[in-house]
Parts: sequence; C-alpha cells; structure tokens
Amino acid sequence: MFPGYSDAYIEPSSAQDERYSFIAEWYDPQAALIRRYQFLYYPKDSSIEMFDIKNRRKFLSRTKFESVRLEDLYIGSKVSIYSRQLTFVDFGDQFTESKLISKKEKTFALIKPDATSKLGVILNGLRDRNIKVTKAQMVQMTRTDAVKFYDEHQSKPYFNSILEYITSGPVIAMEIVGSGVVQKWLEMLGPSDPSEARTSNPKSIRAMFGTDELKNTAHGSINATAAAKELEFFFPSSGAAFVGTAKYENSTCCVIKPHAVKEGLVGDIISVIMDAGFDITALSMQTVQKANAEEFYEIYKGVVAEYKSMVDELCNGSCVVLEISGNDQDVPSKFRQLCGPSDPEIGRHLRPKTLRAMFGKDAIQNAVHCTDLPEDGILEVEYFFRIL
Amino acid sequence: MLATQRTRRTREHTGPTPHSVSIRAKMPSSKLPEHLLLERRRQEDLREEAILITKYNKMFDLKNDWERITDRSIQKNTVQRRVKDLMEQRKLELDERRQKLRELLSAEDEEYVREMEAKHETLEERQNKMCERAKLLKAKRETERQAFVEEKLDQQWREQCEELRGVLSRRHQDEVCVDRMQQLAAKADLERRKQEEEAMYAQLWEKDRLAKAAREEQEAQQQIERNRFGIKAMVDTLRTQKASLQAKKLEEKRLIAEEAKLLIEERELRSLEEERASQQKRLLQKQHKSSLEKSMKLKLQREAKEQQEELALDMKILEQLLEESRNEAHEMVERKHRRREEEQKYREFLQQQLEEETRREKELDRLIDVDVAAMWSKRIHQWKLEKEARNRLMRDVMETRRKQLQEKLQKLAYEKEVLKRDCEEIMAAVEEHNKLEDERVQRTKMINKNYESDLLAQIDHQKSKKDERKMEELREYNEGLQTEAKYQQRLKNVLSSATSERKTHPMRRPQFEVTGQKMV
Repeated sequence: MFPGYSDAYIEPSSAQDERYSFIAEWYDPQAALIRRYQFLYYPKDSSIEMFDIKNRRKFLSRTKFESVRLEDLYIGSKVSIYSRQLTFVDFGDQFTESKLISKKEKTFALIKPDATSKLGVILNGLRDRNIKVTKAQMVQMTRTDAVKFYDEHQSKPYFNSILEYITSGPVIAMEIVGSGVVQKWLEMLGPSDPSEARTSNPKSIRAMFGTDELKNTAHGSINATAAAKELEFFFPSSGAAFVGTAKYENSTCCVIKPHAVKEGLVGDIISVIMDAGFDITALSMQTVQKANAEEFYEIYKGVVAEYKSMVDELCNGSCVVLEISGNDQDVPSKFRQLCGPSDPEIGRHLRPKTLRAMFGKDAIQNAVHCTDLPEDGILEVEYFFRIL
Repeated sequence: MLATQRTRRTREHTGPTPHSVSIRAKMPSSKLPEHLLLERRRQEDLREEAILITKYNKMFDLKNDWERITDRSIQKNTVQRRVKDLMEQRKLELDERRQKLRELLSAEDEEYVREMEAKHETLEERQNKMCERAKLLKAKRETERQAFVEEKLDQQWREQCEELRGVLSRRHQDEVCVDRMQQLAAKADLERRKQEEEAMYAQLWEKDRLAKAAREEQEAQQQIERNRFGIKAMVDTLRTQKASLQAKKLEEKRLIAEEAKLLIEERELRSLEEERASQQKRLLQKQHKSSLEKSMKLKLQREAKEQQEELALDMKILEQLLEESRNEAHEMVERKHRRREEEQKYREFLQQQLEEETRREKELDRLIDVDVAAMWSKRIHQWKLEKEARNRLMRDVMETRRKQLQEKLQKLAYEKEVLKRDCEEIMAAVEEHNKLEDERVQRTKMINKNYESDLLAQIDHQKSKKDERKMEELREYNEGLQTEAKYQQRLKNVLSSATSERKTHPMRRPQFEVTGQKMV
C-alpha cells in the first residue's frame, strides 16, 4: 500500500489553499544517492504533499501529518516523514521565501565561561521571546581560536584579559533563529556594561548575571553580516572545527529528546539537572540519523517493547546531547535516579520530583534518555561526542 | 639469348676454341654427411629443454599461485574468523548487556510495583492513623469536658458558700462605703462647684448686662453720630457736586473762548490762503502771458522770415515772369490782397486766443472759490461734531454721578435697616438664653435631689441588711464550728485568688468618673 494512504478525507488541493513549498532531500540508503523532492505543506489542515522532482511524478499525495508544524519548517531543519528523514535545503517558491525569510533570521549567541551555569535561565528567556535554538555546541576555545574570534579587538588594551577570560572555561556557542532575532537577542543581553544594565534594563541577562564589563555573561552579533561570519567560525559548513569538551570519565550520557526540544523544555531540564548538583561538561545539539539511532539503541532491541518507537522518536528532529559528570563513580546511577522511571505516569505517582515525571508525556516521549547501565555511560558519551 | 651473352656459371670455363668448355672440379662438401640428422637432433634437444623449462615454470607458477591464493584465503578467513569472533563477542557482550539491562529494568519495575503496592498499604495505615487520631481527639474532648464540669461545680460551691459570699459582700460593702464617702465628698464638691458656677454665671450675666447697656448706649451714640455723619456726607457730596458743576461751567467757558480763538485763527488762515491764491493766480497769469508773448514773437519772427523768403522767392519768380510776361503784375496785386486777408485772419485768431485766455482765468478763479468754500464747510461741520461730542460726554458724566449718589443713599438706608434687625435678634437671643439657663438650673436641681433620696434609701437598706447578716452569722457560727476550719481554708484560697480577679460593677465606674469630672 502507498505509504501516504489514509482513510481520512482530504480536501482536494486547490489554488486557493495557502501552501508552503520547500525543496527537501532524502538520502536513500538502498540506492546510496540523494533524492530531491518538492515538499508542500498546507497549514489549513496541516497536511503534506511530496513531488519527486527527477521523475516528475507525485511521490506522496496530500496527507494529514500532525507531527509536522510550520515552526519546524525552515532551511536546514530535519523532519522525518514515514521513516524518511528529510532535510530542507531550499524554498520551493517566492511566496514561501517571502513569508518565512523574515521569521528565519539567524544570529549567533555565545555564552561565556562564567554564565554556562545560567544556561537554563537563558534558554527559558529565549523560549519566552519565541526564539528557537537550531544549533548548539559546548566548546573549549584555545588561545588561537580566541585570537581569531576577537580579531577586531586585537589593538585594544583589554585584549589579553579577554583572551584569558574566554579560554578560562568551556563556552556555549548557539545559532538562534526567529523573526528580528538579532535585535531581540541584543535587547535581551542589555548594555555591555552590567552595572549600566542594572540601572537601565534590570531584567536583561547581563544585569542579572554579569559582574563587570569584561565578564558580561554572553555575546551577541551586532548585525546579520557579523552573525553570518561568527556562525561560520563556530559552525563551519565544511564540518566540525572544534574539539568537544567531553571528559569520558565519571560521566553519563543524557539525551533531551526531540519532542522536549520542540516544546522548549530544554532550559527547564538543564536548570533542574544543574540544581541537582550535576555538571554538564559537554553539550551538543544534534540530529540523529535513523541508522545511528538504531545503533545507539541497540541494547534496547529485544529488551523493551517500544524499541522501534524509541528510535523513531530519537530521529524525529534535533535533540540535545549532554555529558553529565560528577566527582564519584556512581554518577550514572545517581543521574538515573534524577531521571526517574522511564514511564512518566509511574514517575508522577512514585517520584514526582524526577525529570521524566515533570517533563515527560508518555513512555516514548519521556523528555530525556539517560544511560541505564552504569558501565555504559562513557560508551554512550563516546558514541555521541567521538564517533558521530 | 645467345650463349655468349649468357652469364657463366662459376664452375664452367670456356676455352679458346669454340665449344671448348671445361668444368672445374667440384670441391667435396665441408659438412658431414649426417649433418641434417645432427641438426635435427640438436633442435629436438633444444625443444625438449624448452618444454622442460616451461613445464617447470608452469609448475612453479601454479605453486606460487596456489600459495598466494591460499595465503590470501587463509588471511581472509582469519580476518573473517576474527571479525566473526569479535562480532560474536560483541553480540555476546551486547546480549550480556541486554540481559543486565533487562534485569535492571525488571528489578526496577518490580520495585516500582512494590512501591505502588506499599503506597496502597499506606492507605490502610492512614485509616488506622485516622482512627487513632479520632480516639485521641475524643479523649481530649472528654478531659476538657471534665475540667469544665469541675469548674462549674466549683463555681456552684462558691455561689452557694455563704461565708465566702459574706466576706466578699463585706468587702464589697466596705468598698461601697468608701465609694459613698467619696461620692459624698464628690457631691459636696459638685455642689460647691455648682454654686461657684452659678455665682460666676450671675457675675457673667451682670457683666454682660452692663456691657450690653454700654453697648446700646454706644450704639445709640454711634447711630446719632452716623446720622450726623450721613448729613455731613450729604453736604459734602452736594458741595462736591457744586464744585464739579462750577468746574464744568468753567470748562464750557474755556471751550467757548477756545472756539472763538479757533475762529479767529481760521479767519486769518482763510485770508492768508486767499492772498496766496491770488498771488498764485497772478503768477500763473504772468507766466502764461510771457509764454504767449514769447510764442507770438517767435511766430511773428517766423512769419516775417517766411514773408521775406516768400518775397525773395516771389521776386525771383516775378523777375522770371517779368521776363516772360508783363501780365503777372496783376497777379501780384491779387496776391498782395490775399496776404492782407490772411493777416486779417491771423489777427482775428489772436483776438480769439486772448478771449479764451481771459475766460480760462475766470474759470480758474471760480474753481478755487468753490474749493475753499467746500473746505470751510467741512471744517465747520467737524467743529460742530466735536462740540456735540463734548456736550454728550458732559451729559453722561453728570448722569452717572447722579446715579452713584442715589445708590450710595440707598445703601446707607439698607445698612441702617440691617443694623436695626441685628439689634432685635440679639435681644431675642439673650432672652431665650436666659430662659434656657433657668430651665437647666431647675432640672439639675431636680436630678440632684432625686439622687440624694436614692442614696439615702440605699444606705438604709444596706444597714438593715448588714444587721440581718450579723444576726445570721452568729447563729451559723454556733451551728457550723466543725466545718469552719475546712471552710476557712478553702475560703482563704478562694479569697486570695478572688481579690485579684474580682470584677468591678459596671455601674461603679461612671460614678467615679462623674465625681472626677469637671462641669462644663
């Protein structure tokens, strides 16, 4: 049967329907080649339609598909449709481009070493302002990196202290997306001097967490061109440039699942983790391919009945991978206690203070994945931060 | 082909004669007779050797190939085996891990189930706890009730215990007596104060009366004075009016004189203007005359010149004509005649011109006269208007002044009336006050008398009661000597505690306050 078949009545598409068109790519593992499709989205009844560009024929007739939302559709986003992970590479028409280009303005945000512990609050602030985080990476900057990044400040007297400060600990680089995001993020940051910010804009990030003009919590791009440059620096299109900050020692792996990322729970989850006394030593926002997800979850195959839906959930969008570490050996089991029972329903009855009880929906969409076997913690961390 | 021409074979040699041919003897062959055989044998040997070599090579190739393939397959197999081993090991490990995980998860599930069950059990426990709590509460309520009963019994005893009540009442009586003393003192005080007050009021009233009389007198005087002052004011106003009238008259006179002056000035001005006009006229006439004379002179000159020229021309023509014919003389006479006519005409024209001139002058004079007359009429009209305006202003001022006076008089009369009314009101108020004061004094006297009688009755009652109680006590003393000690003990306890918590009668407080208060 055709994959897009459903019994629900779908109105025949008409010219009056508002629709968004994208060019989507799918890597076909059987043929080992990339196929291109025109992807149409009708926001009226959230249905989708796909058209094979090369073979010039319909690939998927118009079908209701509730899990795809308009917010998920932007250039570079990944959506899985009937087990096919599609990547959007371009807009399909002028209408879509003009409608969505302003919404999809990008900028670069850097959280400096002293504020990495405030990540949860900052992420919540972004969520409240309707800003999406599309890329994120915890990075330990070397001195040469820092020199390259702060190239324009090279002649300033405080250059050396900036370098020392920025290399003093891991930083978190993020790509954030939203309409007018450059301005919004700068407003959220407030004036660059925290003491000035405290008088003029006491609710800004720098006013709340900054100490002085040097240690001012976070960095934001001044305009779109600077943002593009800085994004290219931290997230180069040619592949990863920075070495991760993972320790692979006394650590366990935590994956914030795509549904939680979409619902904007990342900030809350990270806050809870940090409040519980765990350190986040590595962070990365990743989109997992289906094969990789299967490999990652192989231990669950045949053990849990929900293995397949777990895999599907993991590759249904981008997820945030964290390395949780502590001082002693039993970090995995301790963190597992914080996560609670895998079924949030049980969690709510027995351990209402656990992550899954607070943020999970059901046994599959249970907000976070954590390493179950204590000895597997480093293995899973390595899988995400070294192998992928 | 000729024989001679034939190339000779190497063995043939031709002699000197024909047909003499000799053949050179053949040399025996250098090769062995069996050389072919040998050759063949050699070749076969070589072939065999080659075959052997190829065979050998082939064999070793085969060996090599075999070795290589075998090596490769061995290696491959080893690798495969190792990979398989590793895979199996990994699978085993994975299985092991899965097993572990399975165990972990199932253990956890069991634990969760157990916990859930435990949670259910706690419900029963909670019920038990609630039962216990209910019991506890019941017990507590019981003890409270017991305490309340105790207290009530105690209260009953206390109320029923005559001795205690006696002591208490004695105390109470003492207090009452003391209070009564105070009351009496307070009453005396009150009386004294009231008397003082009355005296003071009398004094005040007297003072008031005197003051009132004085004031009335003063007012009367003031009235007289005011009246006098009113007349004086009227006289003053009249005087001022008179003065203003006089001033007005003076002003009018001044205005008339000014007018006269202005008229004289005007006349002078007019004469001056007339003079100037005549002068101007004369000047104009002179100018005109001179210009006319000038033009006439010029004209005459021109004409004379023209005549001369004409004469010259005529003379020339005449001379010419004289030469041609003599008849022309007649013509000349005619021409002369014509010229004379022309002159006559010209003179007439001049006369006309002169007449015109005189007429124009007359016209000019007339126009100037008209202008002057218009000017004068205009100015006179203006003066008249000004004068009217002045008169009107004067009239207005007089009118307003009269109105003001009238108003002032009205106001004065009204004030007088008001004063009179006030006086009457004050008198009425004083009378009423006196009446009220009398009433109040009467009332207080009544109240005090009543209170006195009440108190006396009370005292009598108390005294009689006390006597009765004393009698009874004596009787009881005889009867209940045995219970006395116990009673005394309890009484002592109660009394020692009762003194502190004794409540004052609500009626007692305001009495004290009344005595302490000052009459307002």
